[in-house]
Amino acid sequence: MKYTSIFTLTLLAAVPALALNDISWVSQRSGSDSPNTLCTTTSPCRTFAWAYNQTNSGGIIKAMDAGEYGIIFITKPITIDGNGVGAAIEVPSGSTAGLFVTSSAGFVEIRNLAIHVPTGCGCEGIYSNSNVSIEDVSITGAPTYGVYVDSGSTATIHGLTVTGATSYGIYVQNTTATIGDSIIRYSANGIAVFGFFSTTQVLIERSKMISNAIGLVVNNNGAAATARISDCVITGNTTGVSTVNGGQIITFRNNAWAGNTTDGATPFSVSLK
Amino acid sequence: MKYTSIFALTLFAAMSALAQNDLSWVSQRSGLDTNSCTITLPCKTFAGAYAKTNSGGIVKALDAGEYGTITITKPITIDGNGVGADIEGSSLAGMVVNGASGPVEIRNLTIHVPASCSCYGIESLTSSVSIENVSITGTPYGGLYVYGGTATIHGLTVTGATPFSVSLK
Repeated sequence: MKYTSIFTLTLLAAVPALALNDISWVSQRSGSDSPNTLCTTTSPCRTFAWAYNQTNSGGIIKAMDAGEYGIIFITKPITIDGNGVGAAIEVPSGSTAGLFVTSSAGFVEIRNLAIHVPTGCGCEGIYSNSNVSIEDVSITGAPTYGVYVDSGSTATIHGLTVTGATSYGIYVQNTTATIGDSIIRYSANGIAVFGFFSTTQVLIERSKMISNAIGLVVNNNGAAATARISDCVITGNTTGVSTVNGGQIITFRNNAWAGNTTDGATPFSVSLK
Repeated sequence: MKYTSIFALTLFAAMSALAQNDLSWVSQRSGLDTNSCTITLPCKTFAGAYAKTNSGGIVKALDAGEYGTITITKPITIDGNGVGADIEGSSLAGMVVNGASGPVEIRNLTIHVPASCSCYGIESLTSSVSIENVSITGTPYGGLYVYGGTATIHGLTVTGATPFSVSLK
């Protein structure tokens, strides 16, 4: 009898693991985080974190309606999609980031979200040690870093806006990244490209660095750091661009780089057009 | 007894001040400005939610609706949230931003100024304002009027304004 009970319990414990979804749903209006909710459209969950645990590696989580869906810690390939319905993540004090992606996560996509970091939180919007795509995401409030990407990963960022970062709007280190159609404003540093223990290369196109203390900073902080910029706007900053320790900015000569208190040292070493 | 009452009132006032949100919500469907403006008890208007939101916070709309004019004097984000949020202009402007000490962001909104109102769509005075995905329609006296401070504008449409659509001074 004793062994039968143990067997039954083991079987029950195994059932939820087998019942993971390829697509999971969250809802502010009708979702709940309980063992009885399946995170399906007819039985949605309440938070991204709960739905994440009910979703297969390589799966997707989508929001059904406007609401706040909580921070999430990601260790497997997945897509988090706010789905254009007004999904938000409010980052509570004591957190590291709204979305934290570990080095073991593989490929992660984050789409259609608003992340808010309140004043005094000392938190980041998105932190990633893995290969990450960020698309149509806004980060407001007072994040230390809007987006922080590190450690030999790649990042494709498109349609990101960051306002009010106390350290960096976008910080890329030891990573190859593309940044397009993004806006970084009212931050201490707009976009930062740092080499630390491996080469960092970032292509920035059709993006705006406006009204920051420094619009774009590139720093060979132990390894080569290069930013290539095309069709960008760098204006209204205290310092437009800054290169440190031989960090390199390469321009396609089609940027609006003017109207800063100091446009910055002449860093544009090579013309590609 | 008198001092106890004063103490209780002071405590209540202090607690009320502490009860502000970092993230507030408004809802046309279920909001009341007497609510706490949380997602389960949303407010009815942007102005009502603004008063219950911390400096550096954000106000978001849960559903489509008209959320009233608002005067902003602190850093905040007003986010129509892509659900069809509207402001119907009256008095001076749809939105007034005046002397905020940090970034003010206005996103995903429609502001309509009726013919009966000689109003700006958005007026920003000596503030750091970001305007993104906003449409201003009807017959605004001016779509966007910025006087002093800084402005970053992206995805703004203004239609039917007299005498100007965007004025930067």
